[in-house]
Amino acid sequence: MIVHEPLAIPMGDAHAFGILVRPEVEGPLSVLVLPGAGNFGNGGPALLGLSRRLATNGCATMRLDYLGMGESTGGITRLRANSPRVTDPHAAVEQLRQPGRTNLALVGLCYGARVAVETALETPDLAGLALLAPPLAAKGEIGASWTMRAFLRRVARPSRWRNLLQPEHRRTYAHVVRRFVTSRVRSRGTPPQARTPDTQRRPDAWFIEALEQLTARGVRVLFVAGDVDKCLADLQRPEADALRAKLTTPGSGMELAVVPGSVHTFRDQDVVDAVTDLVVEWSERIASTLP
Amino acid sequence: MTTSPACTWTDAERGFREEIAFVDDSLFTVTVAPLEAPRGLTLICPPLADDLVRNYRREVVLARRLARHGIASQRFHYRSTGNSLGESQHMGWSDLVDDARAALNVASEMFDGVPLACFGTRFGGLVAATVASEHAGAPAALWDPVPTLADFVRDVVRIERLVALSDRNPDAPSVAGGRTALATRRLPPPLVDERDEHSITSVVGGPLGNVFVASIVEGLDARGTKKAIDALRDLATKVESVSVAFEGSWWPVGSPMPRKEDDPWPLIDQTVEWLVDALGAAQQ
Repeated sequence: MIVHEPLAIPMGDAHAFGILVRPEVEGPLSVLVLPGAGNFGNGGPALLGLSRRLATNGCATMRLDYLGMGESTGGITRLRANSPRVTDPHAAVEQLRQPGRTNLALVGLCYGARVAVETALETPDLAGLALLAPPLAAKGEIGASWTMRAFLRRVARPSRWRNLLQPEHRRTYAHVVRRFVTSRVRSRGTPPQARTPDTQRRPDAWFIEALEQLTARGVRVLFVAGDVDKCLADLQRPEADALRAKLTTPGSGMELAVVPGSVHTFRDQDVVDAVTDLVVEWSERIASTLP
Repeated sequence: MTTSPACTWTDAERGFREEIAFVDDSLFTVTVAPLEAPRGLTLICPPLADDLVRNYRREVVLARRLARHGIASQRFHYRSTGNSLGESQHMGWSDLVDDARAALNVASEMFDGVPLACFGTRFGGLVAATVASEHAGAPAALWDPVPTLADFVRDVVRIERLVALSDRNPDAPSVAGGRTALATRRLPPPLVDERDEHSITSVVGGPLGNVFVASIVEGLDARGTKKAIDALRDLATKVESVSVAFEGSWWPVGSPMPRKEDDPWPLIDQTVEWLVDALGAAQQ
């Protein structure tokens, strides 16, 4: 028997909403599912179906509605692939962990995959990370495309200073500044023209580095793409050579699965079923290695 | 009727509380109420397929704004859609309307004796008109209601073809079985089979009270909305129709959808104003 438990996750004045689907007897792995950036959370209902399948296999699974979307309270904040939100996913991770669940996996669709990577970097005891049609190329990538002048021009906007009064914006700005500084430090010695390429469809160095860090920590990464998805084309670009090599090398901790159709839109039942089977089978393999 | 564990929260600043539950372990329901005793109750009937996704946040905000004006509301997702459970293979027209009635029962138990209004968008407009006609004189507010189930199924097929083109999937538009196969990719098959049997004229069982129809200027099917308004004029006491400019897509990035929860939202604010007046008049 599976129980569907609606949850209000308090976050200051707001509430993020999640649906926890849990089996009667929980296995060692728990999963947080992060939808895309649509009004419902892109793929929301289909991802709830995925949660049910995972729960049937013994994984307590929560699907989150980001603040300002679905049933959560709050206004719609600007969603940027190059600066994925972290506050509500972290709150959801804490909520999921409360009754002593320690081994977690994150599953993210499209924008949710970027959120999952960002969340994974700061989540200890993470066992797995499944990325469904993740955008590899983020427009306006921080650091690679911003010059110091562009950065200061953005900082000088009066709205930025007004927004500092709100905790949510303060957290976002701190995150952006941290990423900017890190990126500048890493690119020291690189000629400026090499740091300002056309980033419109250029695989994002941050994303690739983050995946490398995570696999070095022992996190098992599953990368799922549809054969018509842009992320699959981006994976063929020279900037993604190292990532592609790891994804296709057995034992690297990363694996690539390609299914027919569009995983990004996640609306055709055939695609949803194929992806669900892949994620469930992947979670079984992870769970079998856990104590 | 059994209800799995519910979650509740209160937004004291905006003056409402919410209770979310799975009724009979399958029907997803959201009850939004003002902090004081409500002066009326609105049943919010959601649309189906892509309309459900596009309209989702509008219905969430509508319910919360109604609560700020002293009106409780009951939202839900038909079984096998949205957050509700269930098998779409078994969902026909009568099952979907039964879900609306079951959701209304949840709210009626909480707020006994308050006047009722119904609200629905697109397909939800048909359901809302059906339930409103079962409660004599209940007002109904509808956004772009579909005049017939067949019109709605035709729109779903069109969207499926457009999405298939944008996915660059050459096989999808010519799925074996044609229109019916395309429609059943997004809709319960029994509902598609019944598409020629249900229209506003046939589903409304009794006299309707006052009806408010908002048509979105750049909506999917302006002619369909006009047909629905013409049909409603023969069934309702009075029909008031307004047109609003298109506002807000399902994709929040760069869309004109208001970013802050309390920003003006003309489509919602006009509807709230009408429902508050209509329920105020019903109470007197």
